[in-house]
Amino acid sequence: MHEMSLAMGLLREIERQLKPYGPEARATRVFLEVGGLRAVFPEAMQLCFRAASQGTVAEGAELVIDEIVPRGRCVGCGREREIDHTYFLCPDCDLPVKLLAGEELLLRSIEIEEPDPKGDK
Amino acid sequence: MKFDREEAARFHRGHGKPPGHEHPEHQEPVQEARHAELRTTAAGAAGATDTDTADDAGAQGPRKAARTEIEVRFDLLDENRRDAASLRERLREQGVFAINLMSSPGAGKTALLEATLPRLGAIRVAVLEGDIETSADAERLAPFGVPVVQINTGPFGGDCHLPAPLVADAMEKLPLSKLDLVFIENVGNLVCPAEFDLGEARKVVLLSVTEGEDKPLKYPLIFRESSLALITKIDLLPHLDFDLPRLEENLRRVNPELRVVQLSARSGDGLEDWLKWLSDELGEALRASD
Repeated sequence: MHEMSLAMGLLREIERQLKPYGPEARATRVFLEVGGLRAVFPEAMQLCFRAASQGTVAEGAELVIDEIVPRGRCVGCGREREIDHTYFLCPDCDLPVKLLAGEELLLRSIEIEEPDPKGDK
Repeated sequence: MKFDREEAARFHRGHGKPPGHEHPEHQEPVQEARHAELRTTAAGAAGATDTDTADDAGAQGPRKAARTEIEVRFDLLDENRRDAASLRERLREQGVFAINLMSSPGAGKTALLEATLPRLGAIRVAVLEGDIETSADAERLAPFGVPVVQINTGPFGGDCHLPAPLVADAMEKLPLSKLDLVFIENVGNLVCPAEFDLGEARKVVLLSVTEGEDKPLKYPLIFRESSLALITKIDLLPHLDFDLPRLEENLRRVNPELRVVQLSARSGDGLEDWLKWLSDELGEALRASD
């Protein structure tokens, strides 16, 4: 299950991003883009994220996965359309389709919770 | 981490010890109750979608918190990709052509190497053997007298694929300046190895005829990433209801540019086609580096 190595890399980046916000800052939501062509299963990713986030700044954070629909453009007719992940030929021309989207594996943003300085001190 | 946060929260409420205090068993019961309440509030806030919830939670609880969303745009595969790129550059400098062999377990990667190694003539070759456990495959290749380095992913959490840093470390154990070709035999798996660039020059996927002609549609990524597909164990075709034309059509659907070679390491059928592909690719790489 390579989702575990990916989740661990994700957590390393979250910890790195939160460092400037001080020791009390926590990640509350993590937004991930996963292209439909990646061999990454959202359920497995959720499970691995929960396991890998134990004891980190993202423990208990919600992982929001945005699944990106694959899109491509035919090298022949130039028509752009959504593509079935098993079909990379243009249904009209039988020519290869150039990918425009669907291969993402991106940590897009992090929602950070930090103690309010006014209420805290 | 959570421990620090709760300690800090108690401290700010004026209930006692400063953060980092190390004897929570000395707390009074009332503090334990608030402890639990804080935990519940935090869990509720994390599951909510309204970003104002943090302030609500702060109003009930002991502390106010502000939530902000920061844009990151970090590609999860970049780390491995960077390691792979520097390995690829190192191999190019040394004039070494690396091939990443991928397949499900038992498709015939090691058998292919056993059939290939004695037929390489003057090509100086080495093998990196990736497995979760055991050095059984490295032992199978020992009689061929080529350098073999076993990589076990077991100590690294039993990873189902080889990542670039492990391959880079293993390459350092090889006499790279005295080699032309390195086969990287990946961990047997049709899913995970496809995601990880190893700095190789070419990816080759093997599919045995006993696995079924639908595999390219079920695991398209590995077939999309590869330059060549080897259909192995074709000596078994007379015993199977295997639809070879349908497999070839499925391969073309997922990767119209994929080259396909059918072979049997056991009977030797098709090995010439594979060796020709190999020498063509190797020759092209050598000419390009001159």
